[in-house]
Amino acid sequence: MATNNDVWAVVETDGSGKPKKLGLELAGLAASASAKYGGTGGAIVIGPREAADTVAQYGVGNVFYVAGDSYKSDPIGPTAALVASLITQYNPRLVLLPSTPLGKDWAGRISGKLGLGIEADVIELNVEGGQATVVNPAFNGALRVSSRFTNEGEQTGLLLVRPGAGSAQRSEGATANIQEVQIPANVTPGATIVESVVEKGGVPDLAGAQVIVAGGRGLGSAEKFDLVNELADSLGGAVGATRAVVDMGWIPYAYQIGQTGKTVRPKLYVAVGISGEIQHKVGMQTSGVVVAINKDPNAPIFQFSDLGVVGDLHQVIPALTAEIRKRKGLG
Amino acid sequence: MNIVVCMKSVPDTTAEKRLLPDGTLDRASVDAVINPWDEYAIEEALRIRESGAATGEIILLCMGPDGSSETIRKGLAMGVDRAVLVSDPALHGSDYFSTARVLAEALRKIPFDLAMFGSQSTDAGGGVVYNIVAELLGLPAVTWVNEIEVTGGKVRGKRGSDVGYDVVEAPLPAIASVTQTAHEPRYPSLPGIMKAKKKEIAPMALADLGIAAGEVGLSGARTTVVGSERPQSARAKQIIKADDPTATAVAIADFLESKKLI
Ligand SMILES: Cc1cc2nc3c(=O)[nH]c(=O)nc-3n(C[C@H](O)[C@H](O)[C@H](O)COP(=O)(O)OP(=O)(O)OC[C@H]3O[C@@H](n4cnc5c(N)ncnc54)[C@H](O)[C@@H]3O)c2cc1C
Ligand SMILES: Nc1ncnc2c1ncn2[C@@H]1O[C@H](COP(=O)(O)O)[C@@H](O)[C@H]1O
Repeated sequence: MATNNDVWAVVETDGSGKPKKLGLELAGLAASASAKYGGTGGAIVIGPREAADTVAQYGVGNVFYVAGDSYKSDPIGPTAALVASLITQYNPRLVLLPSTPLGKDWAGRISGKLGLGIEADVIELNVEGGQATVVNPAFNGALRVSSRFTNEGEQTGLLLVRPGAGSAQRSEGATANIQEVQIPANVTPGATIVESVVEKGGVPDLAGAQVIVAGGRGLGSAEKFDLVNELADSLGGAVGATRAVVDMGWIPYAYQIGQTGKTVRPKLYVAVGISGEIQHKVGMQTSGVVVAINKDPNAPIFQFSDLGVVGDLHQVIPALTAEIRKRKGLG
Repeated sequence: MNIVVCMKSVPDTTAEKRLLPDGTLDRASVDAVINPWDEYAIEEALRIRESGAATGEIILLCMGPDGSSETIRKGLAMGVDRAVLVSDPALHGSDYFSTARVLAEALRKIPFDLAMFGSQSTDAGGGVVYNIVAELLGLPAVTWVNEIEVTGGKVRGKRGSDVGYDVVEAPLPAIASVTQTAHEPRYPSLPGIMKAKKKEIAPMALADLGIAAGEVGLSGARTTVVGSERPQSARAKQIIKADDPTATAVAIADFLESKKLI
């Protein structure tokens, strides 16, 4: 069955019912990609009417939303069933999902229901001559691979899109048909949330951060993570860490960057007291500008830094934080 | 209660990778290891049994070329009882859906209560295979958990959220995927390595699973690689020595300003 010319975005909402930033990027990307196919684009908002109104400003022609709470206690099964049933009903050409754990859960379930192909970890989407080519980093970024769907236009393709592949731009005077949809009956249960725990100090948004200051064993102790926190604060960035310091219990696993942690792509990555072992490198090597501070001139991190500072972080970092605060007028 | 761990044999992270002309990885050229995330799945499976929550077998399931048996032995040496290797020339180049379909069909032939996965594979992995498997088998799944336990006929785990973490659970039989957990995968002991040599690695072919060759592998793939390149690491590698902290701070800040980062 041939697909239509629409690219859809699946937009997640946060605890207060607002669309997540990555969702808005996907909506913007769906709108611009649809235009290249001659379609109007669409979005499925996993959230309330108000969120749909916001998403409608990003240029997609149709916006679906789910009222009520039916998708919350099991965040996976009901949503995946809903997206799958809308795909079956409308046959969009491509569906963009967030390349997050939850987005991957949805994509897997939808693919399993409908037998669809998935492009994962997409960092670029190019539509030319009615055909999509995507770029994904393979082997943790060691290679940039371009690929395509073999049956585009015949079967809907699912794309898991990373932050930064699209931009969350409102389009002037955008209007959309907004429609409420219901979770269908044929849900395969995913998992039930039995408790939600709020951690004080919060959780870093490493995937979406523009600036990351990451700390390693060179800090010397858990208390010295304050140096990293303060520098990140002055730069308006998030904090990350190596596995060595996670293993020592200086900081939770949610902060770990690297092979068995998160993969990040900020505009600026500052590595503080990090040696730059391969398993760390693979999680951050596609960052924009890399600055490293390490006292060992032979540290591997300097081989993939734009600016390498050989010196004692305990001296350099406080001075740097003060200098940045001064330049930004933060006092 | 049996636990199956799905394990992928992947190229060692430290090795250089290259693609063959057909866009698949040149696996012959690099050392293979257990996908690091799957090592955590194996470790957690062994701990679930050691805790008394499971008393049956622990079985490794791997789809890959015949050479994967070397990697499988490493898992057997950790304490896994036996393995099933689905190997067939027609599987070369399989996409996520086909891989998941093969694993799902193989799982139908191995009685299990819990099928464990790593949350992602370090080669071209998308972190999607286990959800496809779960859907094909009509099973619930607790995914991306960094702590896992089995109690009262349920699998339960901790999964990171935007504000902290969620405790998620599902009734058995179920699928689970783990991230790095607090339990470092054990090193095989010498007796473990000796015993592993005698453990069974049962071969399975596509025909055993009732899947036609053309439906999987490169010919059945829904996605295809059209090019690849090494990202040019055009990093400046400029080095400054921090003799005076204040002067160094000024130099770094100047650099950041020149890049419009502050
Ligand atoms: C399967 C597997 C998966 C892994 N996954 C990850 C992962 O996801 N993420 C990850 O990060 N690692 C991972 N690792 C671990 C990785 O190999 C390294 O061990 C780790 O990244 C090292 O962390 P580090 O740089 O903080 O510590 P170290 O390697 O100990 O480096 C500390 C650095 O600090 C410098 N230093 C010390 N004192 C000072 C000072 N006063 N001023 C300035 N510099 C100073 C030292 O010169 C040194 O270079 C993994 C390993 C394995 C085997
Ligand atoms: N060929 C395979 N054989 C066995 N298990 C696999 C295979 N491919 C993927 N898996 C499992 O699925 C998980 C996720 O893989 P992926 O979706 O490719 O990132 C891995 O951590 C493994 O547990």
